[in-house]
Amino acid sequence: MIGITKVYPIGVVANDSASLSVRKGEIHAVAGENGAGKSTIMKVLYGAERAEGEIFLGGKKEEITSPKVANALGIGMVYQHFMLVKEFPAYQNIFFGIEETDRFGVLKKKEMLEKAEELCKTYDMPIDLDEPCGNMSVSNAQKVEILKVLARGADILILDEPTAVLTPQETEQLFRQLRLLKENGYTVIIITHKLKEIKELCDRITIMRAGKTVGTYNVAVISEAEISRLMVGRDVATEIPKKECRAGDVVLEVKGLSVKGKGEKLAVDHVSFRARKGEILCMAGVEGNGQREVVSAITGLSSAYSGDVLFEGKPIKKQRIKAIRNRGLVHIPEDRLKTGCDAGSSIRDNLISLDYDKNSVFGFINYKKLNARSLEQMRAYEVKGSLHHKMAMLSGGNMQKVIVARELENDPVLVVADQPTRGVDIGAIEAIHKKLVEIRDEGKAVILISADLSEVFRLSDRIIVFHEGKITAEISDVSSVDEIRLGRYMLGLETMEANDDET
Amino acid sequence: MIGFVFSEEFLQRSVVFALPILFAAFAALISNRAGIVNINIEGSMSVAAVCGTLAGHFSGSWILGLIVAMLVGVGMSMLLAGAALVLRTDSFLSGIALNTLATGLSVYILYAVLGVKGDSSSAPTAAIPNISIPILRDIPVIGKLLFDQSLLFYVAILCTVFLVFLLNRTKLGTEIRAVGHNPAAAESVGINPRVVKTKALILCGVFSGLGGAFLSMSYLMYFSAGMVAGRGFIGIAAEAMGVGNPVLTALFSFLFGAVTYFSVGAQTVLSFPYQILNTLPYIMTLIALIIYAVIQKNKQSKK
Repeated sequence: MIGITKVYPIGVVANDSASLSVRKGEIHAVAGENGAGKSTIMKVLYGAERAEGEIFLGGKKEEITSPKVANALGIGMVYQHFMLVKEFPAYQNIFFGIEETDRFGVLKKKEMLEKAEELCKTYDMPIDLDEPCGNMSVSNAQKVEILKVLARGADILILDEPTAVLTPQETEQLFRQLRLLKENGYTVIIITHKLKEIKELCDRITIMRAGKTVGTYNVAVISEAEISRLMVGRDVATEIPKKECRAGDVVLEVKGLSVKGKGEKLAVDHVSFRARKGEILCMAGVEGNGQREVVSAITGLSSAYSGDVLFEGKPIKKQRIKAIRNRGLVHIPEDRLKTGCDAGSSIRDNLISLDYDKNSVFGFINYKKLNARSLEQMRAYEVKGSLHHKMAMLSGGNMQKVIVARELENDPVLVVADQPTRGVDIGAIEAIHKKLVEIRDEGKAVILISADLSEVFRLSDRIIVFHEGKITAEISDVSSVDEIRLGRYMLGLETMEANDDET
Repeated sequence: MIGFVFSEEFLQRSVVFALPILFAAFAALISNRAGIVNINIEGSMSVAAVCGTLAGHFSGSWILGLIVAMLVGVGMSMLLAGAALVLRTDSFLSGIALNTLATGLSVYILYAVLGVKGDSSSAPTAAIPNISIPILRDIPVIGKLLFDQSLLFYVAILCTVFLVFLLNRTKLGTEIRAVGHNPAAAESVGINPRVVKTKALILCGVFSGLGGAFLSMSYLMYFSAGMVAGRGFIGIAAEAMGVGNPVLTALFSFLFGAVTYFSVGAQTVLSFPYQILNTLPYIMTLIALIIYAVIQKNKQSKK
């Protein structure tokens, strides 16, 4: 691909004469911060977006006008957000759009099942072909996506952040399968910003920054630090300077919390824990193991639970969210678009949404004061844009910084940060992590919910691991465990007797 | 009263009242499964009914009348497709506009062709034949129900089978369901959701046309203004109760038909104010939708 320029209608340049060249039979990483244009350039290659520039395939110039054309040329893509019809069984998703039919358009189920089974065997991806994809684990759904691409006869596979949602063990398995594909002559392009995985899996790497390609390097000769410097454009601290943890009074106490789940099983099963001042408590675990329900309970979003949630000694059940927030419990929600902000409003309006009422007289908002304060917050959190920019136009990282600013500057006692850096670029991650540590050093309590192990290790003072609604491990000395061990706890392969650390 | 409800005639007539609701429900079903809401089924039926009956009258052929009704139904659907899929308007608002259009348009067509505004009883149509099978129709209880009905009754049964087969066993059915569930996924494999929705709307139009034709070419031999009388909407309710399943939808349509016939028929055997009886089908629709909403809500809270 040479000279790809993609300008979105709102005037954001996603790709600015970016170029990329991939060799046959290699695993090629495309790395860069969020908003660097990695996904965009891949979508252009896959025909899902049109752009200026030229694409050459095996030396021949091709016009890739739609995913169908890309498929015909042997290019397939696995999106970060799976493109599966959840209600359909696996085999139907694999052959979706290329179903085997007779000449009347009647499906040949048997033939499809047989073919799918063969694919599963060849590429060592055992899955239940009759199971609806909505019931599958993320890692199995991903396998369906890969099989779907293979069934289309692709020999170039593009994977958009495939490991973002996987546990270390599942990631390991995925890498094995990708290497198997490589041995079979397939070309794999993987979009990622996880440096470790690039080093482990890939042959070459193309780094992108601000829509441009910085360069293509041999992974064997480039260090992790160099890659991250090239991605961000400056040196990045991989370690956040942290003062020693001095945990103080208990701020939040959860006692015997249970939440009903689907059917008979409890989504949260008699969970108890405490969060203290001056400490970052991390709720680790694979998504969907009860963390979301716990967060709903401790932030007061849901009262459908049994057990007690005491915030500074007083229950929060059935209190109005506003009242809970006024007591100093702030929440950075998991889904920044749905619950974290109003994407249709301006940065300013989102920043003042918690306390505009306290800054108004007879219903007239004191914009002069709030504008000044918003500007200051934007500067402090390095939000790019102006007061009146719509949130929807910001990149994920910028959007998240606005939300973090709003919550952390609202005089918190306890911060519940739910996946605060998911899908956020390295620069923003660094900024958000710094702020969270700052808050903790000020003697406030932080509860971090994260599925990203490197984040867990970087920030936590204490880790509780969730598996199937229970706490399977509580780790007070974070340096005493490694990622593999933590991964085993997260998958429920190992449990740790809960040690009550009253001290 | 009890004798009335448990008579052979009650079953048979219930089906007669159920048929237009059933066709409306199938029209709603196929468009809903493709993820496009068509609330203009009522209007489509009305325009199809007047065009069908007039075509039948002037040509003297019920086949031609039926074909015209179906084509007009498709035409009405395509108006919605044009508005909602090509111009990307809100399909609900477009549906409301088209319903309003249809109310006037049907009477306008009547007036333009025959010069009357109320009904076309002066120009009776060639009727869609009844099929009455000797001997079999004399089987007790189900004889009249199954073997002495309008041709469209048998068409309706075929349609039920056709829909089940289409949705579950064919490529088009797969595409319709996929587009209804996750249009982005369909798009990612090169399926154009708007094309699929248009195909579904064509089928929707055919069903609306059949429903309209039944009213003005089988149930009555002429068109009368307002004769659809909410059946298009009751059909949408039946489809909602049947959660998009053709067989369940057919059964609920029959239930709605039975209640409708009860409200009409009971007026002769019950000394009950007919105004209240007349409201029965609509109250039933309300109750049904409330039950449906409660079930859906419980389902969701379980998730």
